Amino acid sequence: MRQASTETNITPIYGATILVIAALFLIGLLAGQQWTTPETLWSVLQGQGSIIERVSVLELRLPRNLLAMLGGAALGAAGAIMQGVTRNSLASPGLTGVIAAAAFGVVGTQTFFTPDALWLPVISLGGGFLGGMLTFVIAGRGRLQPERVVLAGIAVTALCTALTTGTLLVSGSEAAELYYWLAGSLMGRGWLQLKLVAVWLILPLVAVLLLRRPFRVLQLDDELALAMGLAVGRWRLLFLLLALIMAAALVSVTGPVIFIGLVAPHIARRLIRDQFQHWLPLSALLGGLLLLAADTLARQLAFPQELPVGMLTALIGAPWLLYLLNSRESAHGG
Amino acid sequence: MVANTREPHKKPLLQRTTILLWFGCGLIFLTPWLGLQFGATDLSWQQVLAGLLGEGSSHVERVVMDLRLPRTLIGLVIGIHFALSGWLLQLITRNPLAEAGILGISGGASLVAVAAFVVGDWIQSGDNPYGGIPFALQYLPLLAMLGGLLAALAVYGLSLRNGGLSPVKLTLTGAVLAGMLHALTTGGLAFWGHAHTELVAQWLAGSLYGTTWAHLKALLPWTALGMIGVLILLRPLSAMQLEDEQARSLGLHLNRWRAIALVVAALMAASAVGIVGPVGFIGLLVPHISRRLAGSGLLVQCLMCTALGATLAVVADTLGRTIFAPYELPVGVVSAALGVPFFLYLLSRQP
Repeated sequence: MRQASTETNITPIYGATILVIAALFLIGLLAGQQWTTPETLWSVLQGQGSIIERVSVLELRLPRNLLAMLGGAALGAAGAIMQGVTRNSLASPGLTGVIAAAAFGVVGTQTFFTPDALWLPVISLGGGFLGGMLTFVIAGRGRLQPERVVLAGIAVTALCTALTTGTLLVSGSEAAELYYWLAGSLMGRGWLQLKLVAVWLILPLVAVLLLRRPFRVLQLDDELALAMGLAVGRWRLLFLLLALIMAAALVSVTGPVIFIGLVAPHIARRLIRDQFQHWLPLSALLGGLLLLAADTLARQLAFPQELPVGMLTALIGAPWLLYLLNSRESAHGG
Repeated sequence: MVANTREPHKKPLLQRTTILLWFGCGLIFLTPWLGLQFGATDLSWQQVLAGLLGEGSSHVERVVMDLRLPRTLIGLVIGIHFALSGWLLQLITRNPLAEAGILGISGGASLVAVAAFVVGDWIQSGDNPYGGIPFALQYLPLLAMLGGLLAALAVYGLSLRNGGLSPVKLTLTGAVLAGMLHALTTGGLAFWGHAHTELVAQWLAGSLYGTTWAHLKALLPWTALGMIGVLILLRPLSAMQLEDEQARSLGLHLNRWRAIALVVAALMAASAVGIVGPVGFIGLLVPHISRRLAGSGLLVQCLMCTALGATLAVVADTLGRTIFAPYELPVGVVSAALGVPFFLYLLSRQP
């Protein structure tokens, strides 16, 4: 089936993805209660235009778009890492309990303490780390079957969701706000939130993009990787940790946004066929694209209100996952 | 067939059954006492008794008759609902991990109930901001049931489409659907962004807080219907435990009975969800314990499920009320805390 001759040319795929992202970014800047015309946008970018236009474009839409793009890229990369490193096509931040546990960490601390916002990514990371570890420890006792990991992740998610709900009932006046946050949304996120997580998203993202070679080797057999002089266990841990940091940090500002980390790597994998060195970067790009698109849709679909973007990604992601499970089954059966 | 397999063990089994039945009866009559005795106000058991008999002071009478008694009774009833529903689901799917919450039935019920809530509020909003809340309590079980049934059929259909109904596959399909429904419910609620959010959130946590006699009245018809359904199903179910081919050779319409059992299970779980919100894991835990205690007889299993389900729900609710008093943990949270480790244990035993 797979022959060297089927090797596709990757450049057009990259080009198309980047083009779509740019278009979405532009639409994201223009769209709103009153659509900004391209000419106005141009003048705003040059530092002119009315104060309302400048605020809505530069202070509201621009940081939000950047956050969507960066966050989506982080989720896509995190998903690709988890899927690649554990060799489990179903592993993703949402399905391994990482996101739910991170969310519980944030809700719990917000309720019982009033931490400085700077600490939120750290707290979220702690929660996500514990959740992910719990899932893999539970599932890892047998072989690391994909379905087992997901079932364990679902159980951890159920536990965290229950705990979060219980905590919310105690948190009183903050509950409504936290509840909205739990739906996963980019509404009202600005430069402040972007600055808060930018470091946590960009550094790991750059790191994993630079570490493409060990990542590629990790996807081979353990023996083969060892033979190539790679400390498999250590690298695997490092990659998982980086993925965790990205996913959990994003949760701390946007709330849980699931399924992007699952869907983006799968699409990327279809596009690249067998050129695995491109998997990680393309997953990141597609993740950014997906979240940007979902957020733009979320802003416009129910105008003048906003849909939580987490709801949209779930609506797109769950059917995808069901399809994936079915095709896995038939692949195994056939 | 069933009688034949029992024959050799007849004597010890009967004794065991008798003991179990007494045990179950004892539980059903004793646990309500827990719910009546413990709570925010300290009452002695004499006071509780006096309140029940209508001889206590007005304060005691109010606490016992208006607050604790309906709440405890609802706890009993929803425990039975979730436990029997889980038992049926585990039987027909031959899946030790099946449960209304995990299969998405509770999720579907919640989504429809919340949607009804939101739409009801939307229709009535304007004239009276609090008008939307008591809206049609008696319709909620019905609406929730609709959602639960749809979700159950979707899960069943989706997993059936590719042939086998392997436990892991069915659970995964259900869990994915449940995840989506949960996100939709949360999203819809956040989108609604109304002053009643925390009320609905409380309900979504699976809570017995503030339940009254009216809730019990809305629920009881469905309890009766569900119990009758289970009794009718007992015989076909025991035949269905055989291999599919053997059962078919007995002239049983397997798929038809399976579908009926699924409907009854969805009905029981979803009607309870309509009243108290999704309470998970009771339906997972109780059938396992019952099976282990009761052996293979379905009638005994079913009775044990009833007794243990009621007990577990009341105990979980009483714990939730008293551990962090004056705060209250919803019964759904307590049951999840008890049930998740158990689920993980079951999962670790799956081949």
